[in-house]
Amino acid sequence: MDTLFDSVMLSRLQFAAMAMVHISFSVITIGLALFIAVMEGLWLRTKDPVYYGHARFWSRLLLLNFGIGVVTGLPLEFAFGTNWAPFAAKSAFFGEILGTETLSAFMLEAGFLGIMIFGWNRVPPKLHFFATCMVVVGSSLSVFWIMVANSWMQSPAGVVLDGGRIVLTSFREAIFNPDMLISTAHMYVACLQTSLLVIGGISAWYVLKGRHVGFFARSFQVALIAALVIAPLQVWVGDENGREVANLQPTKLAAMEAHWETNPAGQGAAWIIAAWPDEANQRNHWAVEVPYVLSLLLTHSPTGEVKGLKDFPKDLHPPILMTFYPFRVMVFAGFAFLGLALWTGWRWKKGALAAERLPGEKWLLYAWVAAGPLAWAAVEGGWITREVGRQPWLVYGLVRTSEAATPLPSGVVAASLAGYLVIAGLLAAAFLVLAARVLVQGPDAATMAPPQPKTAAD
Amino acid sequence: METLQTYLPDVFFLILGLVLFLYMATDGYNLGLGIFSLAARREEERGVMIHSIATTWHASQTWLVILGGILFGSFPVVYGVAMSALYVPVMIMLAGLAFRGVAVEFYDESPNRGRWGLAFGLGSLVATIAQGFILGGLLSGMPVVNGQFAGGFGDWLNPFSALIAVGGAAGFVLLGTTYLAMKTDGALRERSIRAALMAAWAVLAGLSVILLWMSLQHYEGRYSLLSLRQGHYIYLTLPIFLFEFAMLLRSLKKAEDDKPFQWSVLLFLTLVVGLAAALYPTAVPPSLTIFDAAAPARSLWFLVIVSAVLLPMLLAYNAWQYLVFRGKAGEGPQEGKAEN
Repeated sequence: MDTLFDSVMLSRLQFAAMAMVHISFSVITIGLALFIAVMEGLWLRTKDPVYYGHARFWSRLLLLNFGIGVVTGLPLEFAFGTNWAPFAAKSAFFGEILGTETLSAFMLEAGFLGIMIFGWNRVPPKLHFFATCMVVVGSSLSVFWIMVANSWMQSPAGVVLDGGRIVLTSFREAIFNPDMLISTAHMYVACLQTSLLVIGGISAWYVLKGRHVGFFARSFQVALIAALVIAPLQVWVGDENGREVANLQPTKLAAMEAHWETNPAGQGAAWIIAAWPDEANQRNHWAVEVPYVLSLLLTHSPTGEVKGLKDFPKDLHPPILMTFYPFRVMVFAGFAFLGLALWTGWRWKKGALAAERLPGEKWLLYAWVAAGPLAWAAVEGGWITREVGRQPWLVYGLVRTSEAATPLPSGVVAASLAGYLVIAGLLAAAFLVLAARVLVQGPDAATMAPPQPKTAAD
Repeated sequence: METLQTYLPDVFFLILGLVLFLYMATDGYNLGLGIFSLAARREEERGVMIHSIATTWHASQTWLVILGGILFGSFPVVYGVAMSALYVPVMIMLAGLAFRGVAVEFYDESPNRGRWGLAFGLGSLVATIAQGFILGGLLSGMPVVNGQFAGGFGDWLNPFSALIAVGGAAGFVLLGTTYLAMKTDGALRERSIRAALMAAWAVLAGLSVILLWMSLQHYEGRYSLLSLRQGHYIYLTLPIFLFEFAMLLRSLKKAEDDKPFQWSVLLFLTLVVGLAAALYPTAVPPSLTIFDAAAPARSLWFLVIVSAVLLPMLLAYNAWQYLVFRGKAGEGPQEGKAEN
C-alpha cells in the first residue's frame, strides 16, 4: 500500500514539495519586512539617510521574494481541497483558521505592499512607515495563524471525534492547543534568524568585495546585534519545543532520536549523534552516542525515562530516517549559529566590526556568507522532522493520513507533481538569477536619497 | 440566537458572492489586461500595462485566496467536492497565476523583459481559461455521494464549460481594456477602447449562446442551471444587464475616461447577482445545498464574526491603496514624483 507510486504517497510528496518551496520564500518575507520597518523607523527618528537607503535597497529584494512567495503559497491553500478533500470535508476547525488567516493576514500584506514598495513619493513619510508596519503585522499574523492550524494537527484539542467527523467543542482550547505557543515561538524566531543570517550574509559579501563598505557595515552591525539575542533564544526555545514533543508526541520524539528501547530504571538514555537505523529489525546498525544526554535533555535527570519506539505498535512508527537526520541538520545548524553569534560578538568587543576594520575579518565574513544557506537547511530540516514525525497521522491520534487523501488516479497526481516541480524549479532559478543581478548592481544612487520635504518654491 | 443560527449558511452564501464579485472585478481586469498585453505593439507599451497593475495585483489575487479560505471554513464539503472534481483545471489555473504574478515582479529587474512580458500574457490567458472551466465545471453539476465527489476527473471538460471559459475570457478582456482606457493616454488608450468595444460584443454574444444552450438543455429534459428551483431567476437580471450594456457602449463611443470601466464592473456585479439568485440555495448543483454542506454552527459563528469585523477594514484599506495610486500610469513603476 505504501509504495512510492500510490496516489496517497504522491499527494504527500506533492504537498511536501509545495510546502518546502513556499517556506523558503515566506520565512525571508517575514524577517526582511521587519528589518525594513526597523530601518525606516530609524530613518524617521535619526534622519540619517543611510537608514533610508537600506529601507529602499532591501525593498527591491523583498518585492522579488514576495512575488514568488505569494504564487507558491496559493497552491498550498488549494491542496487541502484538491488532494485532501476528505480531511477538508470533515474538518470543523482547520478551514475556519485558514479562512481567518486569509482575512486577517494575507490582505493586510497585499493591501499595503503596493504603498510600501511604490508609494515612497506618494504618501508622507509617516504614513509610508504605517504601511510598512502593516505589511510586517500581516506577515507576522500569517505565521501565527498557520502555526495555530499546524499545531492543532500536532496536538488536537477542543474537538471530539463523532462518527468519523471532527466536532469542535471549544475554539479557545483548539486555538491554544498544547503545542501552539511553543511552536509558534520556534517558527517566528526561525523566520527572524533566517532573515538575519541572509541580511548579514549579503552585507558580509559586499564588505568582502569592498563595495559600499560603510553602508553595509551598518546592516551587518544591526544583524549582529539581533543575532546575539536571537541565536541563544532559538536554542532555548527549540529545547523547550523538544520537551513538548516528548510529552505530546512520544513516537515522533523516539523517531527523531532513533531511540528504540525505553531505558530501564536507573539507567540513562544516550543521545545519538549519528546512526544507521534499521526499521525492519527495530534497531540501529551502528550509533555514535553520548551517554545520559537524552534523559538529561528531556527530563533534566541523567536517568529519567524516555519511551522507546518499541513500546508503540509498529503501525504507529513514523519513518525514522526522514525524521532522524533532518532533525540533526536543524540542531547542528542552530548550534553553529550560536557559535557564529558568539564569535562575532567577541570580535565586536575587540572593536573589529568598525567599518574601517571590518574588511580585514575575512574568515568571519565568509562564515556569515555561508550561514544564509545553512539557515534555509535548518528551516527545511525542522519542518521535515515536524511533518514526517507526525506520520502515520494527519491529525495526531485522530485522523490518519491514508484516510484523508482524495482518491485521485495516481497518474493525475504524478502529472501535477511533475508539473509543479518543473515550474517551481524554473521560477526559483529565475528568482536566484534576478536576485543575484540586484546584488551585483548594488544600491542605486537614484533611490538612495530620501525625498525632500516640500518647500514654498515648489 | 437559535433562529439567527439557521441563517448562517445564507450569510456565508452572501459573503462568498461578494468576495467572488470582488475577485472577478479586481483580478478580472488584471488578467484581462494580461491577455490584451499579448497584442501589445511594442515592449514599452507592454511595460505601461504591467506597471499599471504592479501596485494592486497582489491585493486582487488575494481576493481569490480569501474566497478559498472562506469557502473552506464555511462550506468544507463544497471545498472538498469542488476542488477534487476540478483538480486538473485548478492545477492549471495555479500554474497560470504563478507565471502571471512572478512576471509582474520580475519584469523590471530582468534584462530579458520580452520573455517575462510573454509569461505575463500567457499566464493570464491560461489562468483565465482555467477559471472559466472551473466555474463552468461547477455549474455543469457534480454527483456527490456521502459528501465526496463521485464523478469523473474529466467531467469539467464539456461544451458548456468551454462556452463559459470563452465568454469569461471576453469579460475579463473587457474589464482589462476599460481599465487601460482609464489608466493610459494616447494611442494605447485608443486601441484599448476599440478592443473594449469588440470584447463587449463578444460578451453579449457569449452570454446569449450560453443562455440558449441552457434553455435547450432544459427543454430537452437534461440538467442545466435552469432546472434548479430558482434557475429561471437568471432571466430577471437580463433587463438590468442590457441597460448596463447599452450604457457601456455609449460611454465607449464617447471615449470617456473611467465610465466604461465602471459600467463593466457593474455588468459583472449583475452577472454574479443573477448567478447567485439562480443557484440559491444550491452550493454544488444539482443537489448539494448550502445547508447540507455548511460547517457546524459553532465554527460558522467564529468565522462570521471574523468576517464581519475584518471585511469592512479590508475594503477600506484596499480603497486607500487605489486612491494613492489613482491617475494615469507612466512608463516606469508608479513611483510618482516628489511634488505629488
